[in-house]
Parts: sequence; structure tokens; C-alpha cells
Amino acid sequence: MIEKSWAMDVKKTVEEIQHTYAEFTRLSILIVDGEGRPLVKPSSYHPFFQKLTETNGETRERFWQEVSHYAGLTRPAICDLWLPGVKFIIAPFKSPAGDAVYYVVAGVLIESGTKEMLEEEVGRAGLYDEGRKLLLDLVLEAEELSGEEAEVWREKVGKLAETAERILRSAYRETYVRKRLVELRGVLATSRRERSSVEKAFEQFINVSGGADIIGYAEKTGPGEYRIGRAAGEGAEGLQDAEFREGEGFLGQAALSDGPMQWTDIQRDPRSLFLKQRGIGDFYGLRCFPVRVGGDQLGILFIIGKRKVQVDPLLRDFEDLLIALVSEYIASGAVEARMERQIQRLRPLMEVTRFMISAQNTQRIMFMLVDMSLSLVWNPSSAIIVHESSNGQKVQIVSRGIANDFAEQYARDVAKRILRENPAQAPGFELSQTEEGQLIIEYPIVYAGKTRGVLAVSLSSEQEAEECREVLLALATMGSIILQSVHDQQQLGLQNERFLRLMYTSAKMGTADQGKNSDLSLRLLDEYARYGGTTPEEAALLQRASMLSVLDDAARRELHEAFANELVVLKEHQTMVDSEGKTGNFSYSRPAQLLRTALYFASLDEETAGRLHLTGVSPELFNHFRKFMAVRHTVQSEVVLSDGATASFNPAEAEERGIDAIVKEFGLSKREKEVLELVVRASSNKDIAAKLFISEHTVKNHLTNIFNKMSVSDRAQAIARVFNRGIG
Amino acid sequence: MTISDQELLKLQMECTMFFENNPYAYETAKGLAKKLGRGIEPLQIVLNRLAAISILDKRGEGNMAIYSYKTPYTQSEVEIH
Amino acid sequence: MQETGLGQDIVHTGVPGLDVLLGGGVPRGTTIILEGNPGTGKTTLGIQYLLEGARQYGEAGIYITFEELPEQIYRDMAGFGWDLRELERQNKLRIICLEPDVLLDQMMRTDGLFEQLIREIDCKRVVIDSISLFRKLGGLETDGREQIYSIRNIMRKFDLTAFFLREYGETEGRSTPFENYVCDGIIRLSLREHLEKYRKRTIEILKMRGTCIVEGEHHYRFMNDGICILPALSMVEDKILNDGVDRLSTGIESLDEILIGGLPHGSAFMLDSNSKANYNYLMNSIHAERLRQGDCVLFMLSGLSSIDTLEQTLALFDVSLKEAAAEERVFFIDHYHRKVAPEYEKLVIYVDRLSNEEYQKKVYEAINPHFRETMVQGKRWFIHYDLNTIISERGREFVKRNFADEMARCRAAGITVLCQSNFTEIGLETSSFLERASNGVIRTWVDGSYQYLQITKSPGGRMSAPHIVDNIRDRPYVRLI
Repeated sequence: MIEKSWAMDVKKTVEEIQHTYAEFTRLSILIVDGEGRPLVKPSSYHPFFQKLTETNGETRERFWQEVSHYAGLTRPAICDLWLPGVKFIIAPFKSPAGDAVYYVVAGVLIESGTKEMLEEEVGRAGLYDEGRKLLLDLVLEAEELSGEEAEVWREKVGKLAETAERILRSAYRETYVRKRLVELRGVLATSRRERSSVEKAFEQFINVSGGADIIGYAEKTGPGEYRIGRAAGEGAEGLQDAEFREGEGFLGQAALSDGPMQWTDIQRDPRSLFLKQRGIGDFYGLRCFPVRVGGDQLGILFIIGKRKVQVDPLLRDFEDLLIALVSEYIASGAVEARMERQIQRLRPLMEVTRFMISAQNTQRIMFMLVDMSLSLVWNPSSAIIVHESSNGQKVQIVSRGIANDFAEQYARDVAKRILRENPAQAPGFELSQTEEGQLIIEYPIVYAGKTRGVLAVSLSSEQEAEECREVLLALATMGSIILQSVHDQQQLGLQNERFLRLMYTSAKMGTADQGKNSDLSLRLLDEYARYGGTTPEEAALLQRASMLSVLDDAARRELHEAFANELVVLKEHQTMVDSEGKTGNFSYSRPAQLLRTALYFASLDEETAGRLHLTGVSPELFNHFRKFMAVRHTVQSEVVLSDGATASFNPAEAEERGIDAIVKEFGLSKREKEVLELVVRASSNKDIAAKLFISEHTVKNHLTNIFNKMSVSDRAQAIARVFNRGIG
Repeated sequence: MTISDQELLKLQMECTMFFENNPYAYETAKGLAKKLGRGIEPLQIVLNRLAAISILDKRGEGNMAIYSYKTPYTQSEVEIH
Repeated sequence: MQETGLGQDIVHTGVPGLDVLLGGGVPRGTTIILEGNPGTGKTTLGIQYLLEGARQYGEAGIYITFEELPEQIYRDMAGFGWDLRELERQNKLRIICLEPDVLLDQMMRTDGLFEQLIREIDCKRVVIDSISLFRKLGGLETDGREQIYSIRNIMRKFDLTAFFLREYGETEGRSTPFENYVCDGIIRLSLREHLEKYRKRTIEILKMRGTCIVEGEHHYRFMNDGICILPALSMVEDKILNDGVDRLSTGIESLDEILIGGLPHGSAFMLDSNSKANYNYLMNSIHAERLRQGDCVLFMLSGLSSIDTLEQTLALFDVSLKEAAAEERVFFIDHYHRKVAPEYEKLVIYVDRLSNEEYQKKVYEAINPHFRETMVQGKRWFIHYDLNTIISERGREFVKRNFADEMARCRAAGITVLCQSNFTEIGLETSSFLERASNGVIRTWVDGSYQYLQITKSPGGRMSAPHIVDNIRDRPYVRLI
């Protein structure tokens, strides 16, 4: 690791700076590690270090032994080496990973009026020949310095140490962090695709992580029970298959927590006993992260650091990102495995099941359950399914043969009676009778750990209930299982998206500029959707494609399965970029055109006057986006003036508010309002005429009236006024 | 020729699935018979039954009747008071 | 919320290359026949038209098929990466598979299925695959004329831009099918054996109302993502050659307009007229204009037109043939050895009683010295070539063997040629050959009580709409309306 942080170009830079300082201070300077190994070439104002490196090993050894007396220095100091009065400045600095200390050694300094005395001392000292000669030369060549001068040099050398530390750190950011992230991302993505073991990911994690010695994953095996399924790192073998319960030891406590937990300096903490006993030995710190899918806790990811490590904020971010990547990886693996199991279970079932599985859409499955249950009953009259909505706050219903208001009333009843009261306890099916004497049979739809819906079918008689209940039960059960798989699919989608976000964040690390553009494009797409340019779904897809565009090819290939659609759009986008300015016939899908436009605008500096069209992008779309950009700027600058509440700002709403305010304020007629609305949307007179089925002449008349009423002279002013009112 | 209820039920499921899978399909009994590879007569019974329990919409009569999927009543935002 | 261009009533098909051939697209509300043999890609092109409408322009479409199972279409189109079901979910497409009679029944009902669907998805485009089946509808004695007519009207009523697919083979060899008159355009897809190994796919726009089209057969290919049309090479070449070429005025303003300035210098144009049509004013206006501009003109005299008559007609255009003769700017080829005034004598090349070889030699030797001399002086040459005369005097074979060659030589020498012919009399085979050998064709014919004129071929590939030839009192005595 030391060698890596001292990469060739870093070495050169440090050497150059070291030379500059040597020239300036007329000292010989050398940077060494804790064991006295030189890290760069010495800068010799007088040839002491040069000579020292040429001497036999013993002399050098002795010199570094002298230096090493001062290990543990935290500030630059003037130190006597060999003989009292032969002074060197030693300035320590930390390695970027915080795992080592380096020293700048600069010398030699001799106080004014001590030179002669020192010559004598050297002669008297019990040194063997070579050492004596070297020291003598050193003393003879050294300039005498006053105490104040020496103090100035001490500060200077201290600065050199600081500078070297900074250079190393930034190089470290550039190379170390980014490279490792890329490596880890690659490994995770590959193993994700190949569904290979977590071990490989762990191994890689240990390799690239600075502060972690052991990484492990404890899987939840039952309520309150956990087992360490996998662990990697030195001494981790004993952890394999170790079991613990909630609350037991550190891991057990982490299992009770919703968020990440961290403990340090715990060598003597009794809670560490569980891990110690399994061959870890003493360790310094432990970090735990819950791994969950939706609301389900799957297990705990933990990382053990044996030694105390200096923590650089950048490194902390880096490690956090690594951990997040690994935990997402584990979570998505678990979801996939679960889906696989479900599909296996369903395979032997009938045609209907396969058909239902293929739907992969909650609403369509609900349609099928309702239609199928009607088909299965002898005298079908009505069926309804009540299902909790995604946020759990409302319910959705699908029904046939029931009055709409009755359906809703029934849904509320079911929600209170079953979904709210006792969702964890799965009831069996139930036959009941309404006040009107209608027989209803209800089946719970249970998945992902609780009752999430009810399928109800009305029946004509008890006998019919007897006949049909088994087959309906089978249908409801099947529905539950399939809904579970859809649920998992959705979770996987979310998981995939989170994974992509992490990959994206990690790819941005160290490349600030690119990150800025892509962040902007994400924001633009979001705002454009709110502006009405795209649907939220379309915007989300484009955002994902935009994030993928920042990843390298390898990473993108690995994510191919999860983001097939996005990659198609991205590929099309690339073709568009390549063909920019060329002539020919192009047909690109709307998403690709949108992406091209959004990324293009995101790449523009504020000052740059952009192109008036993009090859392959329809002029309508491009102009619409351009208008949006213009409005966006107007809105943004206005908002900045009036206390930046950008987050909740919606240009379209502002437009509407503004128009309403104007209509009220200036007493515009209904027709004038319509015209103004179109003006604000940047329609031409011709467009307005066509849209309102009036002549252009009439449009002009309306405009004159509107401008007069609003006391503005042209469209631009009118639009500005609408926005002002909208924002105010 | 009489067809057992069992078979009719199977055919009914098949038809239901067809229309659920092709929610934008418009079919005559004749056209559907060709697609599913089933006889027209039982199909007509089943299609009419599905129309009766309002799973299908029926336009026109006799041979000219067109069947299409009728989307059930859905409400995805029922507040729980 | 993509804005659609209002006031713009052209529907872009969105099929790569096709809009170029169509001069931008087809007018909204028109009905176009798309014909071709099985396997030429009618369905693909039809679907692509709807798909691109949805993808690029946000316009919804309905595909009506009588023959194929929709599943087949979904599968086939998935091969191009087109997810039609997704488009259906987005309410951008419906694929309807019904029997023709059932469909028609629904179409004719107020608020029938068709009308409901159009409203439901705000349909703008329709493809019917295919109209051939309607023929069988009305019974044996009819050809489905009424049904197709009704459907066309329904399309128009809802302002739908429709493609009617039609099997090509069935109309071949018969008289023009009625739907050609009912519909606004015809696009033909063909598949031909080409150089043994290759099969050449071509698309040709045979007719299109209300838009300027690029005529000729153009190649198309099935690409990974649908059909792509490659405009014919000749079109590209013509486009390049045309830029910066002088245009020779015809002396008729309205004709110059549709020729974008006049006859391109150095091109060979065909003036095809049937016997009833009066082409004399047209031709003489062109000749007069050449002489007025100081060009050299070589006239091929027909049996009907002698130098005398020529002199008289040109005089009507205020051009003196005698003066031109004095300047040695006019020459004549006479197959009939007629007497002429002395001032013309040495300018006439008598070619009667000559074999074809002798004829060619004589004309060449007579003209060549003048030609060289005048070209050095920077004069332009114009040849009036009477194909009717040549065919009757020299024979069809002579024309077939030499015409293309001669035209090429003229083009190379920068000579502009106007050939006068009567395609109907010459016969289909020869005339199509002549048409190909020319850069442009001006057709004029009489239909009912009107004479029409249309540019059916031009170097730029533009076809004009037919214009009525109107006689006026003053020079140039004709104008186009």
C-alpha cells in the first residue's frame, strides 16, 4: 500500500518540492518512512544524504536508529542526532490512508559559535572511521545558524511535510479510491449477474478496504435468530455458522436496530466475547448494517477492524459506499433466490398460473382473480378484491357485479376489519352473510409476511359455498403466491435502482465535472416531468439511462439484464451523438430524443448559446424542451430573489396561479384568458388561432386588449408578469 | 352434440384468459374459434355467458357480434376512514 | 405533451427515407394504396407507419387486419424490436382482427366499434390490411367498389390518414382498378430478381395528390429496426448535376415555374402528346425562345411541318427564321426533300433515300463543322428531335439502338434536346425505353374538353400535378392553370 500511494508521478512532484525547499533552506532533505527507508531521492545542499546512501549499511542503520528515537513526533521539531549540538529538523506527516507516518528529515543545523567545539567532539566520539569521517564532513560543511534562523527553518520544513501530505492525499483520492471502487463495482456487478457467491464480493471487499479486516454476513434464519453464513478476512474461519439471537452481543444488538451501528475501542467490552471466542481475538471496532428488502430484515452485514485506524473523511465515505454496495448486493441476491423458489413452487400448477405469473402486474392479477372466481362459481353474481395500496394508506379494489359505492364501502369495512386489525395473523376463509341476506365468502390474500388483501365472492346458497370453497381457496392461495412474486419483482426493481444509484455515486467520485453535468441532467429530467414534458415513469427511465451513461462500458454490460430498456435508449442516444451534424434519415424513439436533448442541455454552460437543433431530435420536441429551459431559468432566478424554495416549485402550477391572478387583477374575459394561456405556452398567433378556432386577426385583437388591460407592451412582458404573479 | 359443463368451464377459462391477455382484442365467435382452435358452437355459449356475467362486452348480434374484454370496476384510491 | 404543428397538415410517415420521396409526407386525411406482392413488406411498412407515428409524433393508430392473427404480427414485429403490446397499453395503437363484413358493419354504425376506438385513443392513422378482401363482399357481380368507397369516406370524415394494403398481383394486367381513382396516392413495393443472386426490393410512388413526390423506383431494405428507403442513386446524381445548371426558358412562364426555371441546359426532354393534343404552341414557344436567345437550333422537319410553316409559326412569336438562317444559327433535317427558299438551301440536310448508316454519317458530317465553330464562340445548341418522324422513316429498331446513345452524346456536348413523340402510338415497350433514356418527360393530352400538361419525370425527380393548358390571345398563346 505504501508503494501504491507513492506512485511514480507523486514521487516526482514531492521530490521537486523537496528540492525547492532544500535550495531555499540550504539544508539536505530526505523523506523516509517509519523505518528510515528513503521514499524519494535525497535533496542534498551539502552532500550528506548522498554520502550517507553511499556508505555501508551499518552507518546508515545507525543514522536511522538515531532518527527513530523521534518516532511518535506529531509536530516538526529540532532534534539532536549523534552528538548533542548536531541538529536535524524532523517533521512527521501521515500517509493518506492514515496507516503510516512519514518523516521529513532536514539537516544539518549547527548553532552559532558551536562549530569548533563540535569538531573536537566528533574527534573524541567513539565512532568508527567511516561514521566519524561523515560526521566531520557534515559539521565542517554546515553553516552556523542563530536560534531564530533555526526556528524559521523548522517552520519551513514543517510546511514541506504538510505539502507532501497533501499531495499524497490528493493522488490517493485520484488513484487509490477510484481504482478500487471500479474494481469492486466490477466484481459486484459480475457476481450479481452470474449470481455467484457472496464470498467473492467479500474477498474483494477485504482487498480494497483500508479499515476492515473481516467482513461477514449474518442471515436471519427465524424470528429473532441469526446465523453467520459467510465471513471473510484473516481469522474469520471460526465465525462460519455461528448462531446468535437478537440482543446477544454486539451483533444481536445490531439486529434490534433499524439503522447502522458502530462501536469502537471495545477490546474489553464483554459484548465482544461472542466474536472473540470464535477466533477473532482482540479487535478494535465493529460496524453493523442491516440488510433489508422493503420492510423485511434479511440479515446483518458486519465489518470488524482489528486495529485503530486514522479515519480520513474521504475514506469514510468510500468505506460507506463499499458497504452499501455489498449490502445491496446481498439483498438483491436474496430477492432473486426467493423468486426462483416461488417460480419452482408454481411450476406444476396449471395454465392459469403460468398466465398469471406472466402478468407481473398487481392490477392485472387482481383482474384475473376476480374474473376467474366469477367463472368458477355456479351462479356468478359478483366478486371483489380489496388490496392495500403500495403505501398502505389506502386500498385499491377491483370488482364486477357490485354497485360502485357499495364496493367502496365494503373495501373500507374489509380494510378496518382485516387489514388493519390483525394483518400479521392470517385468517382462514370465512363465510358470512350481509344484512341483505347475501352470502359472501372471503379469502385472505397473504404475502410478504402479512394479510394484504381479501378476495370476496358472493354466492347463491350454502350448498354452492360448499361446492366452490375449495377451488376458490386454491385460486386465492395461488393469487397470494403470485402477488408475492410481483412484490418481490418490484422490490428487485427498487433494489436494482438503488444499486444503480450507488454505482453512479461511486463513478462520480473523483470526477467532479462529469458528475456535475449528470446531476444536472437528472434534475432537468425531473423538472421537465413536472413541467409536463414527460410522464414521471418516462422521466424515471431517462434518469436511469442518464446515470448509466456515466458508468464505464464494463459496468454497463454487467447491468444489462436489470436495465435492458434503459440501455437500449442509451445506445440509441449514443448513435445520435455520433451522427450529430450528419445528414440522412433518422428515426429515433422519443425517449432517446428526450435523453439526447436533456443531456445536451445539461452539458451546456449557462453562457453558451446552444444549438438550434440536434440531429435526429424532432424540432417540436427540441423547441418544447428549449422553452422549458427558458422558463426554468426565469423561474429559478425569480425564486432565488424571493427566498429559494425551489424544491416544491412547479412551473406549470405557477403558470396557472399566475394566470388566475392576472385574470382577477386585470379583469380579463374568458376568451382573453384562453389566449393568454396559449401565449404563456409560447404559441404563435397562428397556433392560437387554430387552437381556438378563430382568425389570426381576432387573435391580434385579443392580444391588444390583453396587453392594454395588463399595461404591458408585448408578449415577453406579459409572460414575465404571469410568472411574477405565479411566484408571488 | 352436448358438451359437458366441465368442458364448458374449461373453455370459459380459456376465453377469459385470452381476453385478459389481449385486453384490446375485438373478436367474433368465428374469429376466436379460429384463434383458439375450438368449435364455434360451444364458444358461442361461453362467450355469451361471459358477456352475461359482464366479463365481456358484446356488440351486435348473431354472427356479427363482437366480443371484447370489459375492464372491471377499479378504484385504486379508497381512503380508509 | 409534444406539440403538434398546427396549421401544418402534412403527416410525416416517419419511415426512414419515405418522407423524402413524398416531399415531406402525405397530406392529412388522404388515403393511400400500398400495393405489392406477398413478401414485399406491406405489413411491415404499414406497422412502421403507425409505430413511427406513435413514437415520433405521438399520433395513435389502428391496424386493421383480416388475414393474419394478431399474435403473428406481434411476433413478427418483435423481430424489429417493436413492442406493439406496449403501444397498445399506452393507447397509441390498436390491432383489430375482424372479418371484413363485421368490420364494415361496425364502421357503418353510428357509434360503432370503429368510431368508439377512434375516440378512445384519439386515432390519427389507420392501416387496413388488406382491401383486397372487400372485393368479395358485395357478391360476385360487384368488385367491392361501394364498400371501399364507404371506407375511404369514413377515413376522410374522421380526418384519418390511411394506408390501404393491396395485393399487387391481382390488379396486374387488368384495367385500372377503381380504387386507384378513389384513393389519393399509390405506393408500390416490388421484389425482383436482380443479377441472379440478389433480390432487389424497390418502392415506387405512382401517384400522390397534393404533394410533390420524387419519382422513380427506389430501393428499400429491411433493417434491424424496420424498413429503410434509400433514394435512388439517379436522384442523388440528378440533384448534384442539377445544382448550378443553367435553365433554358420555355418562353411560357407557367411552364418554367413547374420546371423550376426551364429545361436544364444539356438535358434531353421528351414532349409526349397524343394526337388530339395541340403541342405546337408549346414547342414553338420553346424554339422561338431559343432563337431569341441567340442559340443554334437544329430542326428535324416532319412530314407535316415544312420550313415555310415553321417560319410562319415562329413569326407569331416575333422571331424571324430568316434572320437566324442568315446568321447560320438554324439547320434542318429533311426526310422529304422539299423545296425551300434559297436563303435556307445550304442549311438543309437532305436525308431521303439514305440508309440508316448513311443518314447518321451525313447528319454528323453536315452539323459537326458548324457545331465546333459555334461552340468555340460560346453558343448553345438546341435540337428539336421528331421521334415520330424518325420512327416512321428509320424504324423502331433504329431508335432503340441509337436513341440512348445519341442523347448521351448530346448531353456530353452540352446540347439541349427536346424530343417530340406520341407514346400511345409508339407503344408501351418502346416508349418506356425512350422515357428512361430521357432526363425529363412533359406529357400533354386531351381528356374531355380540356388539354392537360404534366411533368411526369424530371432530373430532380419532381413530378408536377397535372395542369390544364389554357389558350390565351397573346404570346405565348398558352398558359398552364
